[in-house]
Amino acid sequence: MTGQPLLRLENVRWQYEDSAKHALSDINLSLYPGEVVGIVGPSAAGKTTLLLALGGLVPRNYSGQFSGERRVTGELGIVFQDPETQFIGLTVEEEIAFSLENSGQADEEIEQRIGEVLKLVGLEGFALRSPFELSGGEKQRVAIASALAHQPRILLLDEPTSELDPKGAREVFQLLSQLKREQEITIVVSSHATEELAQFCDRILLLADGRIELDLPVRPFFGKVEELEKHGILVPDVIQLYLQMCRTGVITANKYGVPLHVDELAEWYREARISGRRDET
Amino acid sequence: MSSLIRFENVSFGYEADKQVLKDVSLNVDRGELIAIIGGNGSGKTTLAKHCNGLYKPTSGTVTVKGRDTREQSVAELSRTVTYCYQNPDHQIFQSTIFEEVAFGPKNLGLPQTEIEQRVTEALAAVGLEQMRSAEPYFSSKGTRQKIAVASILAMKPEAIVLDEPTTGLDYRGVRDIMALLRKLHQAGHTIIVVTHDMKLVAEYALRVLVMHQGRLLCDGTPQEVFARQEVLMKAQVEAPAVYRFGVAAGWSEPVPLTLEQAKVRVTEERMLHETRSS
Ligand SMILES: Nc1ncnc2c1ncn2[C@@H]1O[C@H](COP(=O)(O)OP(=O)(O)OP(=O)(O)O)[C@@H](O)[C@H]1O
Ligand SMILES: Nc1ncnc2c1ncn2[C@@H]1O[C@H](COP(=O)(O)OP(=O)(O)OP(=O)(O)O)[C@@H](O)[C@H]1O
Ligand SMILES: [Mg+2]
Ligand SMILES: [Mg+2]
Repeated sequence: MTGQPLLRLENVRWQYEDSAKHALSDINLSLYPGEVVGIVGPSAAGKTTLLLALGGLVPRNYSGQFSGERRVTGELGIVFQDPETQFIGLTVEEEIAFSLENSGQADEEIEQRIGEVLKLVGLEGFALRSPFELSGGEKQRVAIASALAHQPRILLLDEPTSELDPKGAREVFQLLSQLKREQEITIVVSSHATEELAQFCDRILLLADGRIELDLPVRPFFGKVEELEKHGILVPDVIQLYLQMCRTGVITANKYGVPLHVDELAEWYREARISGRRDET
Repeated sequence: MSSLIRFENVSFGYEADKQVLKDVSLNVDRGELIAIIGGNGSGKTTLAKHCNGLYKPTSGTVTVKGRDTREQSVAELSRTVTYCYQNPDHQIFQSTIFEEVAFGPKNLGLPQTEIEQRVTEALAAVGLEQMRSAEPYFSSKGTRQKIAVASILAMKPEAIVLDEPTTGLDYRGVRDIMALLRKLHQAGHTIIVVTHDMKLVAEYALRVLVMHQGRLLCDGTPQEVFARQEVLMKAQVEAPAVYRFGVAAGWSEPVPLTLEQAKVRVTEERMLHETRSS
């Protein structure tokens, strides 16, 4: 990665009040412009806590013991794991307008921006609905729209697609990739959906017991199958199938590493079949 | 098999002028294991909440064991069919995990020893036996999800309707809950699961209901449903990765749905290749 990091945590440790152990230990992390960074880890590993620390909400809004440094340049947008608990607007429109409150924009601009972000998350026509009377996935889409509205440099998302339908989840990840490319923003996203992370992230962190166990570019990351399995992380089926194909000699191991999505494996498989037939004749 | 839950021309709207379920008819027999899939806002939760009378149809009828849900209270219906909320925080109110899971059995008026045993079993099933005296509210999202599922299990109803029960769980948590549901199914319970996880649908469901804009768009086995590309597109879902690979690779029907099936296919192909070239 090039340039200066937009966000940096140095030697961060954090213990929630009334908790017997550290929720974060020895966290050293630099985030650069134009990268999508995934966070995986078992339940209670500290994914949410790490995102809160990146966002500065830990320690600001929580009691506990914090040590270490946080440096940030640029505005933040956050999508929380439980968006519903954060809603305060009476309408979807109002909910999104809150995040634009200090932007100094004129009313017409705000209205236009609201229309744009609702369209981005597939909620056209929802502006006047109550955010509390929506389906689970619709609520999650509202939260994503709010975080996008004020065009942050750094976007932190805590399991943002956990309740989205498969098409919606794919579209959100495509949107994140697009924002990264076009606006060079930094995106950090936690998720249990390793299949989507493999396809759309540049770099992935494995968090276990409050520590960063792995911090690698996506392809080498998913090459660490044993380590992932040890921590109970789902290795995407495409990768498991690829490994089985290598073991049985259906294809030869690719020098760049494991496949990251269906189309990639399908291409390798077709090539192997063609060259297999060539060898036979 | 005999009918347990039956929808006849069910329509429902939260507001008078806006139908959210549109003329849904379906029958659930005792002992089925069903997945409900479909896009956000397509009516899955609304449909699921009709199964135990939390919502009553605006027109049409839902019957449980032949009796109209309009004629029974939710408490009464819950002995037969229990619904587990999409957001666990909508059903967690007690101050310890034990109390939370014991709440339902207590309301059933069971003796103390029976309550104790059911709670212990349910907590063991979701791997929370060590945390029985912990406060539910401060636990991580995954833990709260497990508490919600354990509360339903402790009720031991004939049929369980779970609304996205694996949301927010890590992979082990997902496996544990699904293994448990399969066990309950084998023990004779009827299981209905709303989910967006097509890998789970492929691996566990025996029947799939596809919702689209309040209508039941398709009803079939996973193999049938995932073969219908136009249905999937409309319903904003996609076949599991393994299946999509099989299609892209030009594998013959039936295209494998699960990783295990795909691995078998790879091995067969290899053997075929070896016999041909030897
Ligand atoms: N407000 C809090 N007070 C005390 N302890 C907390 C609080 N929030 C989280 N914890 C504890 O900190 C640890 C990390 O929790 P965190 O929510 O960050 O995990 P997670 O990786 O996000 O889990 P999940 O996958 O379930 O969302 C857990 O042991 C959790 O119980
Ligand atoms: N309390 C409510 N008041 C008014 N409309 C509602 C309410 N709850 C849901 N709706 C609307 O009813 C429709 C169906 O919602 P439902 O919750 O059944 O969808 P779903 O298929 O479960 O979606 P998801 O996958 O997002 O959970 C949606 O358009 C939603 O906006
Ligand atoms: Mg979390
Ligand atoms: Mg729902």
